[in-house]
Amino acid sequence: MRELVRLAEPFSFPPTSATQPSPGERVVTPRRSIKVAIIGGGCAAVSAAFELTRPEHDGRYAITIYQLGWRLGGKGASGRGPAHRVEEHGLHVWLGWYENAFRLLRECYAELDRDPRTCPIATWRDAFAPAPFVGVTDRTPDGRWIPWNHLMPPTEGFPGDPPGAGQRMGIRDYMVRTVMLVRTLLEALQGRDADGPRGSRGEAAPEDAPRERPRDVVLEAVAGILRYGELATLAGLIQGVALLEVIMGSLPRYPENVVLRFLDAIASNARGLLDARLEGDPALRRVWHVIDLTLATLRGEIRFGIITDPRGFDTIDEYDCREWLLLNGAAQTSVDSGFLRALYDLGFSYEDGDPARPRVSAGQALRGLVRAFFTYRGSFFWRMQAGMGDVVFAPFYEALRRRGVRFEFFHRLENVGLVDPARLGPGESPYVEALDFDVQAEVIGGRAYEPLIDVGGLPCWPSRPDFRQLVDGPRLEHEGWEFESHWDRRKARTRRLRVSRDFDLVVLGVGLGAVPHVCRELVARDPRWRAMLDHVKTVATQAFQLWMTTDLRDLGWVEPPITISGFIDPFDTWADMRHLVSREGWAHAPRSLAYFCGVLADADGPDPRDPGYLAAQHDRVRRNAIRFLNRDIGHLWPRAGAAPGRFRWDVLADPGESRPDPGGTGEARFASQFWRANVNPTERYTLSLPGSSAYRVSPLDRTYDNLTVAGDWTDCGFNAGCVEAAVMSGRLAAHALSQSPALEDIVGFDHP
Amino acid sequence: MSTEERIKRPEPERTQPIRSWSTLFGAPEPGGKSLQDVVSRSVDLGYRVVDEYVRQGQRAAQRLGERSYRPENMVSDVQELTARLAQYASEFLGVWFELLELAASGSAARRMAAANGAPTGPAPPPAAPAREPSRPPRVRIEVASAQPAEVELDLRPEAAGAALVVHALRCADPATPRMTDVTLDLRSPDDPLTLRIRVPGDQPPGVYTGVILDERTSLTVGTVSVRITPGP
Repeated sequence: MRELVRLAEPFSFPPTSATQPSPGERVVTPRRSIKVAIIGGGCAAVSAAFELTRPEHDGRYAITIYQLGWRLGGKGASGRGPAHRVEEHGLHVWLGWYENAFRLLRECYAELDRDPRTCPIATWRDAFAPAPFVGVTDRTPDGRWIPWNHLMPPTEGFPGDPPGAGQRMGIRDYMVRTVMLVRTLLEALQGRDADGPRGSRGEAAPEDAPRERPRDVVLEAVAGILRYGELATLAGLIQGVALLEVIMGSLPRYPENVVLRFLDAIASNARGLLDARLEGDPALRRVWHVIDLTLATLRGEIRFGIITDPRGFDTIDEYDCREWLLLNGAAQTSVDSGFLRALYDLGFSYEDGDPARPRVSAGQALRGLVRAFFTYRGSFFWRMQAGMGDVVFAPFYEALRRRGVRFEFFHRLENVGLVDPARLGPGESPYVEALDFDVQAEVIGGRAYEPLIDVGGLPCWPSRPDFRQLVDGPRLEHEGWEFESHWDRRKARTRRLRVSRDFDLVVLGVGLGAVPHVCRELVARDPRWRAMLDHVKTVATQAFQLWMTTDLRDLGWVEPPITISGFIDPFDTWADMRHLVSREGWAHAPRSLAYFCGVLADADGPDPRDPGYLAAQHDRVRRNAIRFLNRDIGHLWPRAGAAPGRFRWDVLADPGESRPDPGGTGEARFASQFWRANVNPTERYTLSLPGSSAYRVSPLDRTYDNLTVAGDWTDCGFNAGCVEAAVMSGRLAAHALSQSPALEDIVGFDHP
Repeated sequence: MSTEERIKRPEPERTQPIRSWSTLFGAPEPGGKSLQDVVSRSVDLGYRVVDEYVRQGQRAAQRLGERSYRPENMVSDVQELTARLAQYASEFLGVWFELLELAASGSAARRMAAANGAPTGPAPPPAAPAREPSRPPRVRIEVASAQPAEVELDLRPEAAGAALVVHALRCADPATPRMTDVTLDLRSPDDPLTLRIRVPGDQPPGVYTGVILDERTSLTVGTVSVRITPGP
């Protein structure tokens, strides 16, 4: 594939010196500049830079971002490959509750003020489109996998809107919303039940049920329902759940035992009513799974005292989510359902990448679920309208350069050097004294590297570096230097930055997987950091993308574009990304585009110290993908098989079709597609294992008085691997250095 | 290098989230201007008491961590804590009795209304036949501990005949290790239930509690509490 990549001309930034801003850029001359070295260029690092260079700081912070290789983005980096197709690390969708991430990106687009006549993605609304259609898959007793698709209704506002519009959610409010969800599901069942006593619905329309009834009236109603068995019908259940809604709204007024008894009565009656009908009705079974899990959650929230514990959902951080739900009465079948499997799949929550070891902190999982379901704005999912690099990191790069931020590409951090404790003054905290880098390549003339290319008016990142800008570029290209490979240690030279001379403060924004390699001294000296590495783990992931000459309807998928999870390992998540084809540069545009991803087990494959490890893992993913397409994809795309167990390889679009040696036939044609194993330490996904939150280091931690950390692996309020956590962490890191933004302004940091 | 030459991070105002705040966007607004939703309003009213308890607990914990904390402070804090618990128990019992009264008066009201010929609405479905009241099972308690230990067991009648499991016992301070060697065994239906607790030699003094569950339904049917006091 590599020989097919044609780089466009670099995007038109004026050439600049590595040390001096160009005449076209804003010259920042702070009164008393504080030099900040930000290491890494992912969401967290870029967010920290964006905060520290706000005009309100009046140029107080002089920022330099040190980046491995040729592009920003970290795990979210993307590149343009052959036919300018988008090539991602995996599937990235933004959720409608990513308040911090959307807020910063919206500000970035507003600041750039791109011209819509020349740039196809000029505003954030051009960059993201609602994606409300979501799905999970369930396995039937006869071994089939059936998708369960659902349109999540739009909600008011947009993510990143100013706060205050109905977003005051505490655990008690979530519980009310959860009960409302149960009621809605039961009402839906009543609606589809021809024999159901529909007439009763109007007698006390639950949606109109006053929520501020006197307590004695509510308690009397509860006592009556329990005494007379009024939950024995679906209509009675709905009335009971409506009453539960009232109770949840002011829970402390009611004795815990009564509430639990009432919950249990509702659960056992619902189970009794539906149990006999579940077997032959997959749709009913799915609804029941959600009801069952929801009731178990409510029971657990009361029983474990989450609503009163100052730790919020962290009260149950030590439990695995499935374990905790079972503990609170969920049925094994509900815990094994597609709904819950999708929760684990979307978070790659498999320890060591082993599908047999699903593990995620119950507290973090619940926090994520309530945020996802009850606080999304506009749309449940938002889809990027180009690669994540193009939509997110190119705009940030442009904005930060305008603000005077310097970028040092091809800088690989090798060590964070700490001061010798013997040299510390009385009462002085330890600090970072030096930063050691390998400079992977030099830019010709000492200029700044220009990383972007123009694709139809849109600044984009290429999938490969522009060797033409590099000293000895043709040789490096010929020798196949892999700047993002952990196993390629080649370099042009070394470079040491010293405190006070080259930097004052440091933001360590690398991925957690890289920490053991680049912070050896820190880890050796600090038991907290060692404990963090022992407990906060990462996992490798795998992904592939298919461009096809036929549309999905021809392959048997007749639903609208969807993001679906809970499917067969190892590619349990699929997204229909057909909308991106028009952003690419194909001579003959494919008619469909599909992204797949999942975890990649650590146990298999060669020794990670082997120089051939990366290539071997990429090849492993290729084989996994071919097997998956031959064997499994037919469950979703029933007409994708040329014969049983054989995918229709001829539908794959080859960007090199016009070459003398086009992509071949049969399985060999898969070589024209894109796949990757995310096994580089910086690319590994951060897990939220049970009991691990307490071991995370916070960006606010001040053990080292000139260092802060940023990344979704830090203790940032939302301790899970996602864009929002990374942005929150970046904002916290900026706060740690500058006391801005205010902690109360970081949405969700103080969330229960 | 002298400390004066080097630029340092400012001291943080805090290093952890305040998760007890009930708003997504951080500190509640003064005056509760946006509390238009009746749910939020009733929730806030209802939780005032509990929030106060939590705040007092946090204050006590903070004081315990202060070097200036003296024995006389502890005496006053314990008294305050005891008073608070008594108040809480009193409130809880009050509510519980109120419920019983309501349940009784509710059914009495129905009976009275029926006797007077007043409309009573649709007849309720027949209640499930009442079960024979069951008694809590007999329990034998075996404790292995090098330190003085008091065990308090509360089993409800629903525990009778059920397969029971007990959780690890936890202390209020999450940093204190749990007591995990706690089991409930029933060799035969005729034997008493045996609760076995082994207290590790280095278990910090404190009160450890756990719930007892019906294994089949996962419902709480009792609690066990162990108080470890320092040995002589």
